[in-house]
Amino acid sequence: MPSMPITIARRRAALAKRTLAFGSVLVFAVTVGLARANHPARAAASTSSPPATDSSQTSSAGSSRTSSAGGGFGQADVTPAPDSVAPSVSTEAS
Amino acid sequence: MTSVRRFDAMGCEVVVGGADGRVLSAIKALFERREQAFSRFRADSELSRVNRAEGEIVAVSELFAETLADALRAAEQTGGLVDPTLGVALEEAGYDRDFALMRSDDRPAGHGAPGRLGAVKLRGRIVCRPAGMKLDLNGIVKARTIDDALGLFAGPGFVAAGGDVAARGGAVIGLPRGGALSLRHGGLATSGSTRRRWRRNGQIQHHLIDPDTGRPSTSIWTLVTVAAATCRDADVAAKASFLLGPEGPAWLDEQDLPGRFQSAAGVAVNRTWQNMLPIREGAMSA
Repeated sequence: MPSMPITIARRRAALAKRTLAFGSVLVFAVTVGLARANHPARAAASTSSPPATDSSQTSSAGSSRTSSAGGGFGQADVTPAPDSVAPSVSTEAS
Repeated sequence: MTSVRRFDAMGCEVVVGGADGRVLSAIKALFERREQAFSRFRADSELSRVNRAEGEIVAVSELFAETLADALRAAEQTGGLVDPTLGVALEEAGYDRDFALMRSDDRPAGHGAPGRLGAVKLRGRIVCRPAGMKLDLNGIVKARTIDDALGLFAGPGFVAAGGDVAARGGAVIGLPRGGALSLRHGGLATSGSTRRRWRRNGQIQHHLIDPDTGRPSTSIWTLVTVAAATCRDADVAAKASFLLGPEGPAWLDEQDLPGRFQSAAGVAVNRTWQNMLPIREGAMSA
């Protein structure tokens, strides 16, 4: 069998590459479509707890609205400020 | 701490403590690069390019992909409360230009554009989202930039911007309405509706959008301050607990994070705060 002209080989390789790229986009689109249909993030929404007041105690009850939260926050190393030291900077609302 | 320096970036004042000239220059450059990439108000930012894109699939830079991935993780951590898909909602509320340029406006605010978190996907450096959706990554970008700026220090120091602070080696941080704490290592963030607010047709608007309604939150809190391992964690947790309203203090306790809540009735703290930072002045337990 005669060897394939180099130009055809290149065209076939380019076509295969484009097909692969198209297939990737197609798979991506299908994945996105399925994910859209099943996204759980907004499944629960409830703010029915009574408003907290300055005199109420913190409840350990879970928050239904964030019951699916991933967590994973780290803790700061904080202590009460010494009375004798003035703040270097303040945290104000952004 | 010596040598406190200030400059403006990302629509707020940046305060840097303990940096020499070389570190300060590097921090300024870092803030400028991040603002150039993620500003909603610069037409040539990468964020603006993504938000303008007509197709559903957009290729982005590695920095953009990393930041969006973190924003999506923040959404996951907060059950979708801290939502990066609220760019249109912010514009409908009237926040469509740099805050310094905003003026009260007789036009009514829009009807709201709820978050569409489920519609945005990230695979590597490919973002897929519906055309017309506008991402807003401002909060997470500012907090991450502060953390990264602190990483430029060889020794102790702090970086603060627009309510967020990151510190290493100890810094005394003043709190809203008085009081202070010592932040040895980590981040402190205050989110609220008292500063970045404006009027549309006489109605007060602010930048903390409830993703369910797509409108400025009607939370019972005016300010929430949270301490966490990083400024990014503190900022995300402060926003979420603000948006949660009455459930905010208990949710923060579940995360083992201290929170200080300010409302029209006064200042309150959650149980974790009470344990870590005994109350001295005025504040009650929430």
